[in-house]
Amino acid sequence: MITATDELMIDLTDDRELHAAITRDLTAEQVDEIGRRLDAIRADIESDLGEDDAAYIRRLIRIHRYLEISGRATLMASILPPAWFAGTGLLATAKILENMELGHNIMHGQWDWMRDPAIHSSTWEWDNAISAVDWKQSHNDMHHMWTNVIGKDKDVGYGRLRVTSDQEWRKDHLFQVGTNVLIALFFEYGISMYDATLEEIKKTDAPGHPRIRALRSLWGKVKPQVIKDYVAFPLLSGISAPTTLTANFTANVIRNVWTHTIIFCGHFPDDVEYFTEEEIEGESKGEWYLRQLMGSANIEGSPLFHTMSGNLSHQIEHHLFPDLPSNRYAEIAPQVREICLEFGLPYTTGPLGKQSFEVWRSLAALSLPDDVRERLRIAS
Amino acid sequence: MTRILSLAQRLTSPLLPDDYLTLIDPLLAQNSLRGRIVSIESHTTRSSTIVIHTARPVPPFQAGQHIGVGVDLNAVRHWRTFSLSGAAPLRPTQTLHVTVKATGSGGVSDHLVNHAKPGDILFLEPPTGEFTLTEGGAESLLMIAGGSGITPLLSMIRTLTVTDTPPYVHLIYSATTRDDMVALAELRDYANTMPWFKLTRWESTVQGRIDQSALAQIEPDWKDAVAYVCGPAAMLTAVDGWWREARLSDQLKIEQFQTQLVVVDGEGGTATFSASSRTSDAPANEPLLTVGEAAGVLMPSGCRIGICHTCVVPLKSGKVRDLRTGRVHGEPDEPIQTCINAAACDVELDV
Ligand code: FES
Repeated sequence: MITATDELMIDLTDDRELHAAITRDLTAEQVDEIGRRLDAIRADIESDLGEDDAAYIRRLIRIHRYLEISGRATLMASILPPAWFAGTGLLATAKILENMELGHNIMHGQWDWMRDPAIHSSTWEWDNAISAVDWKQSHNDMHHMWTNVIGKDKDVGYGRLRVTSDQEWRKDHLFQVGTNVLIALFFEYGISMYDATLEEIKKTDAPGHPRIRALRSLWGKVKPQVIKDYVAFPLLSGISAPTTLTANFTANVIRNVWTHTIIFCGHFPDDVEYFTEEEIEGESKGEWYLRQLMGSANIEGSPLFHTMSGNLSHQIEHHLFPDLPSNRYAEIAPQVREICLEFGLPYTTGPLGKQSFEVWRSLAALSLPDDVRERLRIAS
Repeated sequence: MTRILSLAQRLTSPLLPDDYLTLIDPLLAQNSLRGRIVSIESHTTRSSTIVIHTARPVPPFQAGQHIGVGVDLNAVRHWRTFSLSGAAPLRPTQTLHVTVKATGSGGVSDHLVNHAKPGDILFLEPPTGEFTLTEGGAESLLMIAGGSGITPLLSMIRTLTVTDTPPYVHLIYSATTRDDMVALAELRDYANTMPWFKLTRWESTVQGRIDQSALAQIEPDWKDAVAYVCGPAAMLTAVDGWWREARLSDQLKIEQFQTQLVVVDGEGGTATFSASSRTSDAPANEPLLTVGEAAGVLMPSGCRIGICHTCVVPLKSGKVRDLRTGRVHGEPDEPIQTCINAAACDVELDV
């Protein structure tokens, strides 16, 4: 006869085996200890937030707006090649700053503590094809909650790419290097379309094909973006209209490629781990932290690089504390690293070139079925 | 102007024209009301009158109404409500007066009295409030002010001094000491020059609290007057009782100057979900998210563990307790994460 307690025991042992993927050979006490230490880091920062942090984000917001204004103004003369290049550069920089250090982080609620309605996750809308509402849904909730859980975290390959051998191989993966080049160029539309389609597929009772409906809902968000970049500003540029249009297009593509690069380096370099839904069932807070640690990778670089990557170069710290202000990640990083060292946990990091190379190399390797890969002795 | 702004928005999308206008001058904001401090007159060491010039004209307010004033304290926006103390204008105005008493708690009032200076920008909520003089109203008014509760009454008296046929007004002004009474000289002046106005001072450190018999002595005809009372909660409760006993509650108007939130350790309260018209018991240890869901409210949610901020809804009133840290917080209109906050007293959420 199995009593209720017996059943509980069995459950626990099962869980423990499954969780081994996350906890490695750490004891439950050690996992809890790691959780407590990380909680303490968080509490330290939270109690220290104040004027300097506010000044940082407000200064960046001003910089973004001046960059945007000067970029748009310069492009009025974009018929002259130097103006075209300068304007495109300014505008691309503005868009990158806005999407990464501002939009992404503000929508995470990193600055909600200031209670300024102009810099708040509930009001911010960004310069991107995905609406803030949809983004918060798919990114803040799905991606950050279910980081690297195959089948749950849609960012694992975005339904198109095979980024880990734990994913089944499909024929279309053969071309995934090319696919990824396209995704990089049109990243904002790619993600937007992908999210919209997933949302529409969920609505089983709505009429029409989900892809058509997705296109329609996508247009609602894309329209003001398109009008601004491809109609209004070119028209305002008068004789520079065609060149302003190409400049705006180029700026958007530069932004897309940059964000794509940073984001892919955050989760897809070698040594990053993936998990299955069974492995994380009944996960504790400490285990959640461990999964974030092992599922993310940092990029090394200068302070300017960190700002331009929205501090996603501190992807590990960002995943541990998604709603702590990004300007604080740099000071948290050594503390996190120390914890990892102490408990023998991996802390994946490297310069942009190396991380990016690993991403593309894995994509190429994983485009082949596993048996072919083994025969050719290609590691992923 | 709105046409221009909506056209401009095509260009600034997804930002608003405001986001660029405020780069030039924070007072150019079109979507929210802001003002600049013109001057500060201190009455006692603990209270001052702040004169504010609003960026845009506000509709003529009525005597007795209040405004919201927001300031950033250590980078966090805090809001407090203050009664307007100036005479009610006949036309839209850009000048507002608030008389503020420092409380010593380090909040908005203390900041305004001790640190604010002319030129500072204030965030504002336009005038509102029901505690106002009724048009063509009573022939005789009894006003009772307790401490800083004088401000809305001051506005009423100042307004009456410039009307043609003011009613008889008897103001009983109670404060701890005479030094704590703001605008005393001005009120004395009115009492000496305006036959319709009578002033009685009451120093509670010397005379104790006003009770019913004292009131009957000071103003034997109190039952014939329409009464306006503003002051601390204890005083309002007492006064309310006297009028109720005399079955004259409809002649009494009360302004609860500071709402008293009773936050008891380890206790929750009642949660009101105003947009969905639901109420429910909200225990101290249950996230407001699940309280709402159980009550059938369509609560937004995501991760449910405090990381995604999908569950944020504005808190209308009350305080909440962060279940992770135990910190009690919450300001009117503050967006809060419902998945990690529980009620710390009665709360109202805009969802
Ligand atoms: S539901 Fe994710 S923060 Fe509350």
